[in-house]
Amino acid sequence: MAAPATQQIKIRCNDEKEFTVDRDVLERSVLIKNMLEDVTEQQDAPIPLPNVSGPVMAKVLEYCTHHRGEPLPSADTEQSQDETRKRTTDISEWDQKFITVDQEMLFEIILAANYLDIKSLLDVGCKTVANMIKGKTPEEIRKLFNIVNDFTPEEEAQIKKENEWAEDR
Amino acid sequence: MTTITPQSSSYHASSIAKLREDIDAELAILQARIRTLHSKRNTLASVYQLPPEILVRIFSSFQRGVVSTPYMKEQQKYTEWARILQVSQYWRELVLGSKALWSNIAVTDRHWVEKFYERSGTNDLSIDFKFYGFASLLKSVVGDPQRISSLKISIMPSYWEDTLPLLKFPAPKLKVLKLEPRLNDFGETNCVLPADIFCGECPELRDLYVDSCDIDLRTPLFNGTNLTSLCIRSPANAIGGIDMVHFLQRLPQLRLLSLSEALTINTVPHAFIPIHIPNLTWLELDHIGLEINAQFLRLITIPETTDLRLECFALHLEPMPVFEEMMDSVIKRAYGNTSLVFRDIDISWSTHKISVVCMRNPRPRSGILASPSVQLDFGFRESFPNDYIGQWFHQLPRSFLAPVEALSLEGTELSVDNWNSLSHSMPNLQRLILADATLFVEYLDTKFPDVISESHLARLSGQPVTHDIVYPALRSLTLPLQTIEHAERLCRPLAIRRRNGLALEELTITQMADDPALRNQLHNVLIDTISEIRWMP
Repeated sequence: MAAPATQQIKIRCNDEKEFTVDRDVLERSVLIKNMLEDVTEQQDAPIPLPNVSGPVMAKVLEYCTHHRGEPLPSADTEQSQDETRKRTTDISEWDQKFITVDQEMLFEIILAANYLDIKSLLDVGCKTVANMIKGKTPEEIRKLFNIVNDFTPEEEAQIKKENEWAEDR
Repeated sequence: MTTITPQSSSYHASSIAKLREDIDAELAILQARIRTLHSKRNTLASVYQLPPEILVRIFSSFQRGVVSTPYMKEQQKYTEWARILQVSQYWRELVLGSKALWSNIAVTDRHWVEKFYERSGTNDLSIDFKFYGFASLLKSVVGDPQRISSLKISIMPSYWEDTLPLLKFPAPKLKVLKLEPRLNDFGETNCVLPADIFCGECPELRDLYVDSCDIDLRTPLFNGTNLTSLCIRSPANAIGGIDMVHFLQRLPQLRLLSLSEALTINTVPHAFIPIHIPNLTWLELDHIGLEINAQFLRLITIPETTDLRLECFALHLEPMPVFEEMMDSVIKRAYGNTSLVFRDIDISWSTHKISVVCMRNPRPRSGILASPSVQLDFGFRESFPNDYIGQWFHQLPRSFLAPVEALSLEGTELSVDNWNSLSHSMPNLQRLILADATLFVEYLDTKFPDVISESHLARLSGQPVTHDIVYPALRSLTLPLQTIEHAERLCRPLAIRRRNGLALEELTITQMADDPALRNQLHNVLIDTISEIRWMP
C-alpha cells in the first residue's frame, strides 16, 4: 500500500550529508519515486545517492519543495506540449532566480537532475545554458566555458567555407 | 629537434628546400600536438563534464530558442544556431552526429534545407514551411514524404494553389499537420483545403490545425478518429453546427479542442446537440456567437475529474442579465470542482469589455504568487464607465471573491469607497497590480488617518501598532508612482504593515519617468519600508 504523503524519508549524499525530506517532495525525482515504490516495508536506513553531493542536493531539494504537488510530466504530456504549444526557452521567474548560480553549480544541478530523473529541473538547467549561449560568437562561447579552439586546418577551412556562404546572405 | 641557425648565402638551394620541408613537417607535428593539447585542455572544462545526451539537449533548446526569436530574419536563424559548430572539435562532432538536431527543418532557405535534410539521416522529419512556396523543395529535397511526422505550412495565399496540390502522397507517419495560409491585403485567404490531401491516408494523425481555409469536414483528412488535438480556426466557409457536432462525436480521444470563429451565429442550431468529449482538457471557444451561454455550457458533457480550460469564449452585445446568468454558471462550475480551470472569459459589449481571468489551481504553491490559485484579471481596458468594475464587484457573490489571491486592474481603478468595501471581501489577496494608483493611495491614506502620530508613538514605545490591517495577505504590489508625494503617502501604511509583520515582499514601480533624480528620491523614501523594489518602464 502506498505510504502517506507526509512520510519522512532520509537520504544520504556522497559526502555523507543526510537530509530528511517529505516523501512527496522527494518523489519529484522519478529515480527516488521508483525506489520508494519498490520498497514495501518502511526502512529507516537512508537512501544512498552516490552521485550527488550535499550542497547540490540542498539546491535540488529547494527546487523540489517549491514545485511539490505539481503534476509530473509524462511522456504523453511532453509530446502534447511539444506539438501544440509554442516552444520557447522561457523560464519562470522563480526558476530563473533559483538557477542563478555559478557555472560549476549549474552543471552540477543539471547532472543531479539527470541522475535523479527530474525532467523539469533538467529542462530549466538546459534552457539556462542555452540562454547563456544565445547571441554569442564562437569565441565568446569558448571564453564563457573556458575552452579553446582545437580545430584542424581542414575543419577550419570547412568552417570558413560555411561562413562565406552565410555572409553572402 | 631541429636546431635553427642563420643560413649562409652559399647554402645550396636544394638543401634550403629540404630544410624548409623538414621544418614544415615538424611544425605540422607541433601544431597537431598543440591541437591535441587544446582538445585535452578542453576536456577539463566543466561543460565537457556533461554527458553528450545532455549537451545535445542544450543544443536543441538553443535551436528552439533561436528559431522562436522574434525580429530576426528567418534566413539568419539557422546561421545563428549553427555557430555552435564553430566552437570546438567535440561540439562540432556532437552536433553533426546528432541526427535529431537536424530533423526539424524550417524551410526558409534552400541551403539550410539541404544541410538539414542531408544530416538528418533516416530520422522522421518535422517540416515547417514559412512564407514561401515549396513546390521545388518538396520534390527535390524532401524526397521521402514517408519520413514526415510533422508538417506545418504557413505561406502566402498566392503560393497555396501551386503547392498544396503537391501533397498527394500517403503520409503514414504524419502526426501533426498545421495549415495556416497568411492573410492577403484584404484580410482574406480564399485558400481551399484539397479534398485529396495525403490521399486521405494519414492514419497516425493526432494533431490537426487548420486556419482560415475553406474546408469540408467530409474530406478523407477528417475521417481519422485518433485525433487528440483539433483546432479549426476562422474557416473561410460556413460550417454547420450540426456537421461540427457529428464530426466531434467521432473523436473520442480528443483532449484539446479549439473552434475559434469556426461557427457562425446563424449556423449554430438553437437546439444544440449535447457533446460528450470524455477526455477533453482544453476547450477554446472564441467568438463563436451568441449561443455560447450558460445553456450551451450545460450541453457539453465534460468529465469533472479532469482539468478543463474554457478559454476566450465571448459574448457580443449581450444584455447585462444574460451576462450575469452566465457568470453565475461559470462561477458555480469553477468552484464546484476542485480541478477546474477557467480563464480568459471574455465578454464584449458594444462599448464595454471585461476580461476576467479566473483560475483555480488546487495545488498549493509556495513562494510569492508566480501562479496564483485564483486570480481576477480585468485586462487592459480603457472604455469602462466610471467605477464600472466596482459595481460589478458588488454583484459577485462573496464566495467568489474570498478565494481571490491576485487582482489585476490595469485598465481601470476602483473608487475609494469600493476599495473600502472590498477590503474585507478578499482576505486572501496576495498580489495586486494597478495601472493607476491615485485612488488606491488615497484610500490607504484615508484608512490610516492617524498614521503619523500612531507610528511615532509606536516607535517610542517599541510596540507594533494595533490597527485594522487591510488585505492582510498582501505580499506583492505593482503600481505606478510618479511623484514623491505619492510615494510618501504609500509609505505610511506600508510602514505599519512592516511593523506588524506584514511587510510586502515585492514592490514593483511602473510607468516611471526616465528621471534618475526622481527615481533616487523615490528609492530613498521607500527603502525603509520595503527591502525589494523593482522598477519597470
